[in-house]
Amino acid sequence: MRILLVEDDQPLSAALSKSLRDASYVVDCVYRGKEALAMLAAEQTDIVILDLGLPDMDGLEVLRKIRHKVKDMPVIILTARDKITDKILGLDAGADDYLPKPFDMDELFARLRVLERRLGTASSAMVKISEVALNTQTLELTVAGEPVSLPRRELMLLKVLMENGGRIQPKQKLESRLYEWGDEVSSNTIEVHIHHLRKKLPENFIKTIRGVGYSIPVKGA
Amino acid sequence: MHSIRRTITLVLISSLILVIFSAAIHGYRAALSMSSRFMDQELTTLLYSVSLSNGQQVEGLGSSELVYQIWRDDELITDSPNQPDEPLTIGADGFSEQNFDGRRWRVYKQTLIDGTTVIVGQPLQSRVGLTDALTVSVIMPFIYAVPILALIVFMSVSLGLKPLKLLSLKLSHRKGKDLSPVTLPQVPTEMQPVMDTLNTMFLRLNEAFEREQQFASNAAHELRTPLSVMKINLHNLAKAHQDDAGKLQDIQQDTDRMIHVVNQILLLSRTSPEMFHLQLSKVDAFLVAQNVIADIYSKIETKQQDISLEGDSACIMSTEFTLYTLLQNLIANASAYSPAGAAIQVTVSREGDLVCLIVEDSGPGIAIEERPQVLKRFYRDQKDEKYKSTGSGLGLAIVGQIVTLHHGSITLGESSLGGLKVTVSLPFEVTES
Repeated sequence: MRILLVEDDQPLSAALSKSLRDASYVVDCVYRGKEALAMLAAEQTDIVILDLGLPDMDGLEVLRKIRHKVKDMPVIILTARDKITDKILGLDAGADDYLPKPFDMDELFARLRVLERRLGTASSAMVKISEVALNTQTLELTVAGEPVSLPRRELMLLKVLMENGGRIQPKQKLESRLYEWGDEVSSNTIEVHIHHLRKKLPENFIKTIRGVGYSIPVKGA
Repeated sequence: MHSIRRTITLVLISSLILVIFSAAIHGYRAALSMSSRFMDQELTTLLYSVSLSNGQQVEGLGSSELVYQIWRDDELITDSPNQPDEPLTIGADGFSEQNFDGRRWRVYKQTLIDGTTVIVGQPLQSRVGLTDALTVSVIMPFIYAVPILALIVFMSVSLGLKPLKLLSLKLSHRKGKDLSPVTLPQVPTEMQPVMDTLNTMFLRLNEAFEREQQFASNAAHELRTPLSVMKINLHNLAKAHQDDAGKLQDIQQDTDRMIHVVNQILLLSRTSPEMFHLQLSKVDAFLVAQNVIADIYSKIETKQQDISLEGDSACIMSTEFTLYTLLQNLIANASAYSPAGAAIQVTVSREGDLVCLIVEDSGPGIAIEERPQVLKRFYRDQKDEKYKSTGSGLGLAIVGQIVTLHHGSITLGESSLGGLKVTVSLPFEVTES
């Protein structure tokens, strides 16, 4: 997995690239927006980690240019700004994820794994939480090694929850995903799907956070 | 209070009165001297006509109180009717003032070549009467003019001060944080420098204010990047020295705590009233609560705590950022000060014009006597040590500040879950102070 790290702060770039290399990523470090765009044109890159505060051009502008060049390039934004509007702007401009500084390396690794799975290399397509394993490409589900069959919609829902293990998926967000998949959504659609999923999954595998949404706890997260 | 209008009006009117009265006195004196010259001339004329009358009665004196006497060798030859026979004067020739017949007279005496003495006289009183009449007719228009002039003075002073009054009205109706330049429809030359200075001052204030705001976001960037480096280096170090990872844990915790304090201080500066009133919009507190819980869920999950959100959509005039900060502090506090496995309940509800945000937990709570303390800055609960909290002591101070911004209220009480219950009531509309 080859990562392009666009970060103008040299100490941060050095520490971050060391950490990523230790986790066996290949890392290219650049310090300017223009260098990043040149690098993308010249080298094969899988994921971009982009700092928004670059000295030569606005990070969001770099992001838009990356999107223009490579339509589905996964991009994680790092920023020292913490305004909520910045987060929304970043995601609107096409970022796949957003991490405010200072962040936990484990958090960054988790987000990278989600993006990797989407890229679909066979090994990383597998998500396993306790005894539940899901291939995010083929949507093959096994519980304690036994294959389990479920409707595609419910597997898609499970995929979203498992890829974001340990984090809450608000109900509205899940509903909007169902819309994207062309489903009819009524007020209790999500509840019905979750109910079906629970019947096939270990007890307390999907946790309800009343009033907010659902989450799959990850041990030791 | 010292009033410009009153001072100018008073000074103008009193000097006007002063001028009018000195003019009146001067006029009176001039009238007096003119009338006495005129009357002396009349006396001279009378003396000549009497001396030419050869002892005959002089006719045509009429009602005028003029009198005459002709003496020769101390003998009264003739005089005007109804007069005593004493001489009007025994003094030398020429004009003089004499007492005669119980009154004061202006007298003119002339001794002719044949030894005949002619004396003419007029009572002073009749002269004064004439002067008075003259003076009054001169002064009266001035007397009538005083109140009219006073009114004109008052009105023109008011008119002249109108731009000043308008300026003070504009300034007093200004909203608290409005630092835009002041404009008036017509600025008199005298007020232009005041307006210029005022607007320059507003401009500088505005710049200083923006600099201060900028400082917060600059500080955020400047501090957060090195803190990130520190955190990542610690992570790398812990990975490289797995055996000593335990020793590094303390430094990692300290770093996290430093990050937390920096974040909280920035929050405190960013939830200042100056920022707040400029960005008000309708925000759904329930949605914000959902976001907060989703964002900090990993921490709650780590502590195996159970969180739930009750209630329904409740909109309020605020900013997303302030409401987020408020709820994040309350919920993070509930989680931090409650043991593993505790329950946390967040409720968003509408009660009339108020939106109530309630965060309660099954933790140890706060003793009644300690409750007033916890809203102060940098106060940390005695139990902090027990829970190894990384609190900065700013959390509830930030909450307090946000509640004050909304003119809301905060109460600490006991929860039915067993721990602390924090109730924040915010009015739907924020009225600017």
